[in-house]
Amino acid sequence: MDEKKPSTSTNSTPPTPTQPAASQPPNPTPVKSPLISRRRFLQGAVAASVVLAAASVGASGQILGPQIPTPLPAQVIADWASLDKKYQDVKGDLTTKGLYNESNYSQFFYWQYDSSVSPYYKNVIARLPDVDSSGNPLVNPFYPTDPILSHVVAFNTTCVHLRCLVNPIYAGNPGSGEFRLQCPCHGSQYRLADAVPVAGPAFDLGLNPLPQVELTVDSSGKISATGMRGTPGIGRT
Amino acid sequence: MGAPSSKKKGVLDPIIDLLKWTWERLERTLLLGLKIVFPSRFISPMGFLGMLTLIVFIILGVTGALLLFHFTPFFGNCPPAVNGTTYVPANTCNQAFNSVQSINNDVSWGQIVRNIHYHASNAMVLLAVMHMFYQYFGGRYKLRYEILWVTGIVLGVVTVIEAYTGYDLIFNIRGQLAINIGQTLTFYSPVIGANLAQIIFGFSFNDLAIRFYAFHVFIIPIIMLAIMAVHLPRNLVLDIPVASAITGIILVMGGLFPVDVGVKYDPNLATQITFPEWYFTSLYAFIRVHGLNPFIAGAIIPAIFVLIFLIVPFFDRGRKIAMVDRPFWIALGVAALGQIAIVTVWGFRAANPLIALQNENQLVIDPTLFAGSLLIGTALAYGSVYAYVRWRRAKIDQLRAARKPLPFRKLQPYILSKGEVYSLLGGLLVLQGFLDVAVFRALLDNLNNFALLEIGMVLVAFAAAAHIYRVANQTR
Repeated sequence: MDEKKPSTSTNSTPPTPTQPAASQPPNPTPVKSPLISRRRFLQGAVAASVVLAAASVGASGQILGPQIPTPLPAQVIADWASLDKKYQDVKGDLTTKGLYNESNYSQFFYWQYDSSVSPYYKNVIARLPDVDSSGNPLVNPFYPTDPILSHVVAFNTTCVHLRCLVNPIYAGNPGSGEFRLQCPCHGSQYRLADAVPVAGPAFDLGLNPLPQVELTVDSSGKISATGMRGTPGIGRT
Repeated sequence: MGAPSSKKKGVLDPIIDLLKWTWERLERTLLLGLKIVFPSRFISPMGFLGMLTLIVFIILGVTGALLLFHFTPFFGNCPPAVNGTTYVPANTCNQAFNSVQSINNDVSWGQIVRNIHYHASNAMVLLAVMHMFYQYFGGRYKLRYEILWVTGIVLGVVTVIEAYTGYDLIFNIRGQLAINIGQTLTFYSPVIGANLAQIIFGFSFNDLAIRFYAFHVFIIPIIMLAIMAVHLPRNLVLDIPVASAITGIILVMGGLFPVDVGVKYDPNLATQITFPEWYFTSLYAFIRVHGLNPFIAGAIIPAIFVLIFLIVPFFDRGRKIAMVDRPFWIALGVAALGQIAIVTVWGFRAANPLIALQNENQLVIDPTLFAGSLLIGTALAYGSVYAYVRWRRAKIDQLRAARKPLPFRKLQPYILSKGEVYSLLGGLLVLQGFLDVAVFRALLDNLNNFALLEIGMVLVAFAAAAHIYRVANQTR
């Protein structure tokens, strides 16, 4: 505390005038030195109120944030029997009308937020074909042992490159390509089995895989979405 | 008001008195503090492009206000197909687009007002860029012009952002592409990215629609007006014929090239390949370059470009503003223009600029080809302009040393020569033919845009008449 300074009442002059303060040693003893000078108190009060005002302005900035709707609970999104039946019907038909037509093995659903909220919560669920074009077996790597879920994959469709919505496709000519999820905007391609980028900008830039929708299946074959690993547009980290 | 009694009383006197009374009271306001010059002779419109930009801004404000009455800032609900049935888009899906479509097709005069708004927005971006480059080449960014220059650059950036929020509000696939890219870039900005993206874009698409609506019709225009209050120079030039011609050209463009609503964005349908508006294809080209991070491509590179222009006055400290005295800055400006042109063209083309775009795999641009064309173009533009300016400077010095007259054009009253008259008439005939074809096309189109074309032609004709009258007055 600089209790002497206020008595000289100026701080614009060079420090030499403060020396004569030594000529008045008896003064401080009768006048009880206050804990804090009036000027310091006022400065502190002004500073505190400025900080408080700034804080309340900052806090009221929360009005800028959007209202986040409540996410949907775990929900039945597909029926294994019908999903598998469509696949089994066209399993042997290796044409773009049969197995290589995406509507024969996949369907879309909105989850965590319904379709009235945001297109970025559009997901795809697919009956993973048993083998790819070169004969390698395809298994869902997240549920490799489950008798049903090892054949079912579900991913968010928001491309992690620039947020267009990807679609399942069969890449290349029938018989030579692979099952993919492809972005219609800039051509990023993701493997259908685990949604890891394999071509296009998302692959070139080394971006994250698409978010995975966590699934459970009950005894009657109803498949439910229970959670999402990752964020739409950002991907699975 | 000297000696009123001696004058004969006229019918219009009360009105003139009222005007005088009003004018005298207006002297107490800011309004008459502005010095607005109405030039009596023709001066190059390049000198008052800023004023023309302001006029187009006012046109945008008026047409935008009219469009407010019919636009719905609401995305709605797009439920997907029920399993096993074919997808039928719901009525509630993308209501913003539906309302734009109804403005275009059903609302009386809706198509006309929307066309004016669209073409005026393009004109405003174009005029602002032209204004900037004209002032840049004229050296009007230093010698106490610094604040005007910096606010101008900021105003230009805000203008482009305003245009961006505007064309996103249509919610067609073009707007959707812009929304997706904008959101991704904001998300990838460091530290505050995720929070900033939520503040700008909201969480749901309905948030997005209402937020962009608020930005487009109120917040950004207010910001623009605030910056304009600083950017406005004290001396303004308002040339009525040129202003009328610009307005007329915007209307004529609206009549000749009516803008369609585009393809509706529906998250349940596969989207098609689309391109941004022309003032963004340059950024889009960078974003499409193979292996270039979108944030660097779409945010850092343009920011550096803008920053260079922002700080020019603090590096060009010379006191000379003539073009021949500033070879480096002139060459830099031309190189920047060349860069903009090259990158903008790249933005419209497939990966290989020589073949037509067929599928999305051709969108990724090869970086060596892209950077190569950019570097060569820039280096050529810079080198040749720099060499030319230096050569011209040397020539002038040489002539001065030899005490010869400088080969500058002398200002003299403008009189048309025979050849000029013939070429002007020929040009007008060609224009006439073009307009005839365009009007015929409008006729086939049920004359939807004929009124727009006609009003535009009236304005252009008025401008031409006023200009000819002015020139005739000059020559006597």
